[in-house]
Amino acid sequence: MTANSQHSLAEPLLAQLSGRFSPEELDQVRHAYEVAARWHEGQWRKSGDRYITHPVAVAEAAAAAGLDCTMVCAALLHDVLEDTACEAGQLRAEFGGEVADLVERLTTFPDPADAPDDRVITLKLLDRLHNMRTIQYIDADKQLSKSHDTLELLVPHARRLGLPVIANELQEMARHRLEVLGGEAGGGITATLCALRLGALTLPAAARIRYLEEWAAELRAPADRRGRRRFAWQLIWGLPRLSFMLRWRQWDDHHARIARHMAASRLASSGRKALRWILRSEIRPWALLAPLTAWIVMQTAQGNAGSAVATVITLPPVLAAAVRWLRDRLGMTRRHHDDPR
Amino acid sequence: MSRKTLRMTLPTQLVLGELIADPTRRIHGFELCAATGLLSGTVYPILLRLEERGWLESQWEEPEVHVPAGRPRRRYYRLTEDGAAGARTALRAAEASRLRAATGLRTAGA
Repeated sequence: MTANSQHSLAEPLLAQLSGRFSPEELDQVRHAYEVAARWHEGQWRKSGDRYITHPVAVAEAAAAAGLDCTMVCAALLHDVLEDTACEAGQLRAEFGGEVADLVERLTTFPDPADAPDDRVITLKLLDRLHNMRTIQYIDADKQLSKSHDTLELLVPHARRLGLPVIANELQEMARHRLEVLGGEAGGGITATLCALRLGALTLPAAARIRYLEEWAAELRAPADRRGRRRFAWQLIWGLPRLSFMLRWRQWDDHHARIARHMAASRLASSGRKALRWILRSEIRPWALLAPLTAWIVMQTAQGNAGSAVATVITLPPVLAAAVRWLRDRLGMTRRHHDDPR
Repeated sequence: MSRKTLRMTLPTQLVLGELIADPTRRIHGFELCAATGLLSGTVYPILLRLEERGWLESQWEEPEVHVPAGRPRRRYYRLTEDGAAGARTALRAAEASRLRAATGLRTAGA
């Protein structure tokens, strides 16, 4: 049962390689998977997945990048020396010197005594790519150090090796992580950046992202903590003004102005249309005005019956005059058989 | 806002003066604050105004520079050709009006 489900984990990888690798090579990949799965048995990723899912993901990335059988096998076995009791001699005996060598050098990377090998670095990049994709599950301080290490060490390597897609993804993920965690721990940057971030809530969203990124870099420019604090507080003090300018610009923007104008004229024209529709008939104006008249009369009648009668007599002609005036204004005056009222 | 004339406030003059000293130089916000002695809360609105006006252009720092330096990317500002020309004219005009005011005061006082 276990063997079965373990086997299925490597199936997508084997399927991915089946066209390109010879049957012997596929056998070797399968064997590397089985050995790795045996050594990592009972180990788990912080994400809750079985540990073997990680080497498999790295091997799949290696396969997708078009790397050879040695590299795919090394990817599958890349953590057995570091995280299990497996020894280099055993790897050497089963998979040959090349695979064992790669895994060994990857385990000690970056080793100042070891001239960096591009194949080792490539494996390291694929390893980090998967680790960064699942980084949210590890401790915050480890996330920080991994992200810095990624930006400082691995992204330049990826660019040097001509792997811009990997370089960009690594860079984005590491930057995003640092951003989420609020910059470097210590040095007062975290707290200051938090205050700035709160203050920046008044800025329009798009501008906020741009300025926060800009200021995160600027906060590293002052020599000391006091300088940083001062810089940040001055910024916060100036935020209302900046916010006003940005929002005014949005409001004042040429296109926004046209859009507002059009919305207003649309509203006005539909209002006019409705008014014309009402005024076109004899009944519709009075259907609206009669309840109003009745209400006014009732209100007046509560105080004084005489005034109510006066209202009944005077109000309808006034309203009728108003309706006629409106029709005139809108150019809807009827010809002869006009309303006698 | 961009259609209206740029108000030549003293801080704006200071910023332009700093930029025009070397019109091809690119400078980031903190550098400008340090050089002019202005508060950061004053400098950024000015930069925004100048950029809207087309006098400045801004750019993110290249990854080749900030990644090895291990910090987020900076935003760099630089005068445009329009900006350099406009800044020179505006600063000269401001200078002239200051002179006029000063000499006017002196003659009035004498």
